[in-house]
Amino acid sequence: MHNKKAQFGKQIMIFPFVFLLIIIALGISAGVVIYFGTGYDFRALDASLLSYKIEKCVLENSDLNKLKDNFYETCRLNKESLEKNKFFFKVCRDLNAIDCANTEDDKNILVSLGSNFQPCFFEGVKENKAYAKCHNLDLLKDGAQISIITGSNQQIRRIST
Amino acid sequence: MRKKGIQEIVFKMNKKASIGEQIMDNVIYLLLAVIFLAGMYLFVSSQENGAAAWEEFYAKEISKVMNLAKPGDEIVLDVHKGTVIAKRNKVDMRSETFDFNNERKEVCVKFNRGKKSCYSYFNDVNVSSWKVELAVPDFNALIIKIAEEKQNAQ
Repeated sequence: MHNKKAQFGKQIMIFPFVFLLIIIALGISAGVVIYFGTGYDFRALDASLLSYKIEKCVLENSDLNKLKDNFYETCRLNKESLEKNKFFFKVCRDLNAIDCANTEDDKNILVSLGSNFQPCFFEGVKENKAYAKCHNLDLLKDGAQISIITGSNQQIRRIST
Repeated sequence: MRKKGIQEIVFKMNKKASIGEQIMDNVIYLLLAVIFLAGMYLFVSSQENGAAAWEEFYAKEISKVMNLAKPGDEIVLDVHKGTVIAKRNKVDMRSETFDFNNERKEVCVKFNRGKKSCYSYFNDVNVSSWKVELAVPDFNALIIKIAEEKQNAQ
């Protein structure tokens, strides 16, 4: 009976040991993260690059209906890559960017990929890293209003070789 | 007399058992410590020279260039800092540091052994060839050739 109690005491000593290891690991990780920085957030730039490419494409093509049918080929955008890497965008006509984010009307939507565009307009999430980074643009083309909302949540992939 | 003898034997056996237990305890602690040290070593060594941070930087900057590239372009990028880190970490500067995947539309950068960092671009262009040229004229350069329109369609 006495021995069993002692054994339990010995076994329970593993917890302070593991706790100590966790504290050391956290200390080293914090040191490394502070020294090397917290990564290079490129999502805002990705979103504005996508917006720039779409804007250029919309302005260069006079027939928007034709563009709608053949959007990815005409604008030279790779749909698979956009889908896989958590990009999203929506292009609307006759609406501003905020209304474009909320509309589901096919009459106004030229082309769209992904969903949930509303957080792009939330002030509270702009500094929140968990949310995708967005870029919104309103432009005029032949007197018609065009709005473009783009966003990216692409993360770097670390692969073992 | 006989009872005393049995007690001695039991005591000796207990002693042996407790030595075995102690060794087992120490072995478990040692194993945990070794696993921990190996993990921390791998983590710190992967961050050595800031290789992972520089991989991320180059992968993202190259993806930006790829997003703005047009068919037929030839792009020359200064990758001197990256190649110096790769050399220090014994990664082959010419063949291992940069890699392009046309199917996935992805660029991968490797400046350290064991892992590489990959980032995707959305521009629908293909890379027909790329190479790392050393000292052109005073820095190491990554030369990327974007495929022509016809090659892209293939």
